[in-house]
Amino acid sequence: MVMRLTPSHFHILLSAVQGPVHGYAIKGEVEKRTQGRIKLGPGSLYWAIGKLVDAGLLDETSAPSEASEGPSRRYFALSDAGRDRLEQELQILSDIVDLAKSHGLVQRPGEA
Amino acid sequence: MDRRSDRWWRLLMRLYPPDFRRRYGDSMLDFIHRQAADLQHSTFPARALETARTVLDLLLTAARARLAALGASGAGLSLRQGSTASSSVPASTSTPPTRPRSSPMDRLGQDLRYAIRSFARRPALTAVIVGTLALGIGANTAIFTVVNEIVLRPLPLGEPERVVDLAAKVPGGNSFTGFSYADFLQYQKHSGDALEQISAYTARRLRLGPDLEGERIVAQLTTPEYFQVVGVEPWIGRLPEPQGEPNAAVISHGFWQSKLGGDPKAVGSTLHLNGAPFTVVGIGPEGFSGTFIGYPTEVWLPLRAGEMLLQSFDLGDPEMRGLEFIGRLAPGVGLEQAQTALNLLASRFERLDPARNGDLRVAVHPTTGIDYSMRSGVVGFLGLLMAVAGLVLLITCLNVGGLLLARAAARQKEMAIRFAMGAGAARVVGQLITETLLLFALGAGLGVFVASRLTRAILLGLSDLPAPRGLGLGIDWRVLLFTAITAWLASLIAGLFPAREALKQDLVNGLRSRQAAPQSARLRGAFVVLQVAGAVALLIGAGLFLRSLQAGQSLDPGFEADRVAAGRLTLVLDEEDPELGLLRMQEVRRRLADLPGIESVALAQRPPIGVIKNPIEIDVEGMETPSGGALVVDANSVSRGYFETLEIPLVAGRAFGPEDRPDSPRVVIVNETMAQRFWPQQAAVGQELRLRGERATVVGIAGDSRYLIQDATPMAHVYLPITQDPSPRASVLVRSTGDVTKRQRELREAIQPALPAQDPSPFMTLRDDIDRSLLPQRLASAVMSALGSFGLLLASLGIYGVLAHGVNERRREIGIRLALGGRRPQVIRLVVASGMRLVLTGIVVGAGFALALTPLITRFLIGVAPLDIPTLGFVTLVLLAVGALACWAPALRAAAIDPAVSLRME
Repeated sequence: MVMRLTPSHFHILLSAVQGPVHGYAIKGEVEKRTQGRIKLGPGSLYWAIGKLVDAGLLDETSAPSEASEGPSRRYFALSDAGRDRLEQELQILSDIVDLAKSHGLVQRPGEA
Repeated sequence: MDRRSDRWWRLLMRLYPPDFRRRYGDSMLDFIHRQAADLQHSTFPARALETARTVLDLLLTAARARLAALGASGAGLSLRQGSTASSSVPASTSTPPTRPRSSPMDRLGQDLRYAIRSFARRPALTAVIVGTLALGIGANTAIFTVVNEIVLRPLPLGEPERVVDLAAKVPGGNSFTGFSYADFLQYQKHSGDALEQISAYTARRLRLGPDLEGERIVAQLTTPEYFQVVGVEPWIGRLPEPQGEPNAAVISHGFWQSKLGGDPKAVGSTLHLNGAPFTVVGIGPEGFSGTFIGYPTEVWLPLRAGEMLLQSFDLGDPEMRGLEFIGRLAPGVGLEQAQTALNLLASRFERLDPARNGDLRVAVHPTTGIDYSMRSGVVGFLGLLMAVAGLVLLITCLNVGGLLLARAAARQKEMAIRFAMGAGAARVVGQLITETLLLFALGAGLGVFVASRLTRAILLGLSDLPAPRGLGLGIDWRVLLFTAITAWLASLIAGLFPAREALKQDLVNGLRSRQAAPQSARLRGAFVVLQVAGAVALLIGAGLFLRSLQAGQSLDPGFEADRVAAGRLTLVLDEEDPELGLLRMQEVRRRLADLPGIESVALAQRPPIGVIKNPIEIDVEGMETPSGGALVVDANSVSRGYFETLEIPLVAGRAFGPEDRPDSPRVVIVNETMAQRFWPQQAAVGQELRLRGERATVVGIAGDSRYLIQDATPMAHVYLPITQDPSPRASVLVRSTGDVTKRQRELREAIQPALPAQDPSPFMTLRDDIDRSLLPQRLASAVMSALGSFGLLLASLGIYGVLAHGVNERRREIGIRLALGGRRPQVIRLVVASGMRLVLTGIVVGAGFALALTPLITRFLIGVAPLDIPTLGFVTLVLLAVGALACWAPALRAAAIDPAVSLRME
């Protein structure tokens, strides 16, 4: 069964595009990117990460060499399946946006 | 982030299924640490908000994870996790699986999942509701924890229901404080029908260490039967041998932990008390510290050890009274039966030897941990606190109920769709109940956390006050059960109305209209009125106690209270040789008076003012009470120099002098009130009265002073010379030019040669002593102020909520008014008036609530009536101000409505 992606899942995957990241960094990036619309607490973040790892979309990796943080810090990277899935989702989104634009439906943010 | 809060986080993690916890527990903790570090420099509210958000996130996700774990093991439940209901889900390629017919458990699972999702979608509202509940339930739980510890939880004794306190009672007597050892032997021998075992004991404060400079600890000197009576075995070691081991000590578990650092070699070691060496033979079980809650015993010594530790402590002396009895009822014997048997015994002893036994009686009371004479006061005070907590819970429920009602109104459309799609009423109500229960379960869970913090704060606050110590204030099953039941009842109250609203749905209108049902708005208004009323009642209570505290602190006692310090000591008096006691007292006074800066010294049976009356029966020729009963007046036994020391004026006659000896004719001094009441037409000096059957002459009249802290009404008071009415416990009163309380050691050293091995309690000015007695007022005003402010905050949020909602609903109407030429100040007035109507109704109802609390409060009030106009006025003003503030924002918003926009909206 293919896993359904929620907005949080989607944004978590997006945060891992640049390379391995740890949990707290994901939270910060997602918050920044969505301007605080999606706030991840420790529970929801790791619950979502757990789902993504189980679905094979994220891999747990060792820390990047430059990071010398504590041993308990865990890093997550996008798996190949994850990258494919993300591209697929982005494609769908971009199609929808194109469709909306062709109908003149897309407004400037904040206008709605 | 400190270690303690780490413990709490880890506790929260335990809510997760074990495999998830193992997998990500540490990472989540690391997350929390990082977040805390990031927030280090933020303001307190920001940090608190973030912490609340994190807790909520952990709780909700834990519930989701648990459900998923359940679903994974259960049959037929689809495993669709995550917030699939979120509106902005990126397109998904999966198809929802077909759902099999659901069983009740499945339905509960669905309801729970749905509830979690719907709460997660509105985190702010959810956090406000859960936070409010946590504070309300937490305050209740904290107060219940105190009640549980003091009243409900049985003492850790073997078969505690069989253990009884046996109090010495002499009708009409005032200076009798206990039994003699001879009494003990007599009762031990003959009380077998009623009591299986009886033990005599006396509690003393002894100094720890080889000299007399160490810390004072509480020791109980007991006969060997004590541990059998209370049904307690030592945790380690043994009890002292019944005979011949006067140097053996049993220490309490608490003492072992706190003073000996839990030393494993404590048993067998030597302990110095008042300079005398004792061998520790055993350690009591954990949690056992005698039979007085708040006054833990630290060491138990054989009663015989008293003869070595304390001068003139002679068990062979039948006049050495001051022992207390504790007994274990014989199997199958009830309290009344035991009382009857002991009454019979007492009259038999009286007949056998009237001189020795007199009219001594033994009163049987269950051993509850609170002295019988204080029990009704303590229970009354705790009852008041519980009533206050109940009021806070009511406010909380109404507040949350109002929020849920608003939520229900906003969900009308959703409900209508559910009904339209064929959902049964039971199913919809079931969903609502599940949601409410989930909220309250979250609130209760956090409430227990809040309560544990609050009880810690209470203990911390108490440690600065002359309050009971050694309270554990643990959260046990009783507390948890109480919290669960409270939360459940509260959820019923708060959830009932929203559910009813949902059922009253009109399908067509529900789907079509955007207006909330008018009943719902009226209901929310009623909720706000009751919240205001609750807050008003709490604040009135707080105000009354604050004024009582003030009145108590600034009361004019009618004597010098600031420059006179009092210390208590034990004057072991010997009736065989009254001269000796007299000489000792004179010696104490002389030695203290010789100290530099000391102006005057006196002794008295009790301090000049207190909270308990000291009644004595008297007979006066030609005087009768209306009921024909005995005349009762307040009494004190005082030494020479008493009136001079306290600067109480002598209105007529003389003070006590050296001529008032134990064997000279009895004399008394009365106060002005007594003189006027008993001999209104004649001079009181020279009159006679009978005291305990003996004739006594009035030799002087002293000015009135205040005798009871809580009562200013003038009362008849009689002074007896302490030489003729000796008392084993006495207060030493010292008036000085400087602050004598800084010279404790000097005072002690002056007393010791006169009364060897005597260790008076620390000297304290009478003003401070009065202040110490104001503990109930101090606690009540603190608790009620805190809870009242919380209630006020909730009520003002409630007012704001109702008005803001109302303004939103009436945008169109207000728009029309403005379009028709209505002026903005009028709109403001309209909104503020509708808000203030709620506030004013609330104030009136609240004053009614406060009146209903009067019977609980009155006994603790000092110098202020339960219906105190200044308090009422002040609270009214505060409420009006807060109410106006809460109205202001919605009113401004209403005035800012643009008619053009609001009219186009529909």
